[in-house]
Amino acid sequence: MSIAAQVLAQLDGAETKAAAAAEGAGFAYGLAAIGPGIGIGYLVGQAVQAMARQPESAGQVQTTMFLGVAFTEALALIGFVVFILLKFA
Amino acid sequence: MSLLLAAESEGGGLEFPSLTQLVEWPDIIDPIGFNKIALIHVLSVVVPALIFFLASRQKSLVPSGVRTIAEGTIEFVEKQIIMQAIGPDGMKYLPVLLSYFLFVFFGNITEVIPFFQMPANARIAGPIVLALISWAMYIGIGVKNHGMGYFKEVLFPPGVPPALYILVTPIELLSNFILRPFSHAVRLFANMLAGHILLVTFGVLSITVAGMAIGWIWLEVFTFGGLVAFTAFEMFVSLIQAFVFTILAAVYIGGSLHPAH
Amino acid sequence: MTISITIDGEELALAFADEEHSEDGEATAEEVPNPVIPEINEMLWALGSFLALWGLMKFVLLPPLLKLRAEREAKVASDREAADRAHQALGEVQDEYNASLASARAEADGIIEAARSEAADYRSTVMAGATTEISEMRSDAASGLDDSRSAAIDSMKGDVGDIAVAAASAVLGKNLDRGAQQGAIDAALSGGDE
Repeated sequence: MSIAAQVLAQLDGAETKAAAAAEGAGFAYGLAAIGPGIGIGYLVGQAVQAMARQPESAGQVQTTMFLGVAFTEALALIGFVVFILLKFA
Repeated sequence: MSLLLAAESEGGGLEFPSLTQLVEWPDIIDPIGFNKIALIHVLSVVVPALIFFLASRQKSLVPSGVRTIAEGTIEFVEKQIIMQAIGPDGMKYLPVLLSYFLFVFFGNITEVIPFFQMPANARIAGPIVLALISWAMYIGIGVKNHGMGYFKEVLFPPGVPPALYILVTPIELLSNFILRPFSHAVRLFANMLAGHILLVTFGVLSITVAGMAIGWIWLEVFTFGGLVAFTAFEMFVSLIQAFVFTILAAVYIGGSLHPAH
Repeated sequence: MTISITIDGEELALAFADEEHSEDGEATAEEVPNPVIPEINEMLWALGSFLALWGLMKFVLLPPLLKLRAEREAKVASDREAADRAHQALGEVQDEYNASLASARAEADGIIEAARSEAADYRSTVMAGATTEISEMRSDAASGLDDSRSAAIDSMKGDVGDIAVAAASAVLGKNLDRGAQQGAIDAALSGGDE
């Protein structure tokens, strides 16, 4: 946290650390969710298009879509773990 | 939030339980460290074993009852996971992958089962153990099939001009041997932890709103409705995460058996 | 798990574990273990149970089910083979039947053909005989007719000669000799016949 903010809020050392941790934690997950959000949206859109082009392959496409979604979501969730680490430890 | 302000003006506040209360459990049987998570792990062995044992006692050619579940699961793991990721020569890994699938699935689904309400995989112990076993397996299979040349093939992929090895080899090393087990475990762990925290949030909100003045009862629709909806979603996510964990383990094994590059 | 909510000063607590409970989530005074660090006892229980499940699956639980499945697939394959063979046999029987039917039909056609040609021959023979008879009868009749016609003409010639001589003798007033005028009468008649 910036020095001015610290002085204005009259925080001491431990509270500063807690405040900075909370701030960082919030940013961590928020920023981490942007990329996977776009990625998953694009992936599901392409999957829907593929299913519309060739309905017989719908089952296979759906399975692959879930797989892709899980991989992409992992990146967002690693950000969530960072959030947990910062906020609670 | 006006909800919190309203609550505070009545002299109380919305208190969230701390994270340790959500995920840490006291020992039931103290000396051996047997807590609720360990109980779920043991049940993850007992319940599938019981199902498969009862299934194998039917002798007819046409399955019925519990044998349908057992054979259905075997078929699922074989067709959707082994055939897709390894190919026909992966059939000897059916026991491992089936065990992964059942263990992880049971560990996940207890999140929505009323007595437990806690996924065993929300503690990183389970996922890390499974990910390390899968790591050891795919390195072991690679070494057994290709000898020590396995490391050379992975770290110095053929078809790359030698000058680029300075760039490619650290990336391959990091990605294949360090980040793989980490992401394998964290994917499962973080999904389950996030789901659990979400369900607890909605639960706490529901209880709080239920205890408030009668004028707030309309809010209960959202909180309780959210709880129900997210419970259903978490059932789905449990199945998907079990499937993804298993198919990723299969992909790693397949990658060791037939290095694509 | 313990959920403790304070509303209006009342405390509703659902707890089945007696735990140290701090007002805020973070620990400023007490040491809260990091929720992301694994606990050794949980890891050991997880390892033990997974290895137990793997062992059970590999040696005890899967082999009977896989054997039953292989049996069932073998039976399905053999049944399908038998069905294919039966289908083939059916095809053969059908071919045989068709062939015999065709040969029977050909035989029947041959018989009919033979009968027809025989009948045609007979008819032509009969007709030829009839035609011959008719032509004979016709020629007989014709010759009879000729005979009677020439006889009639001769008699008519005689009568005409007589009449002519009589007329001429009447005209001339003298008696003519019939025999002497016969030549002139024949010449006139034959000139008229031409």
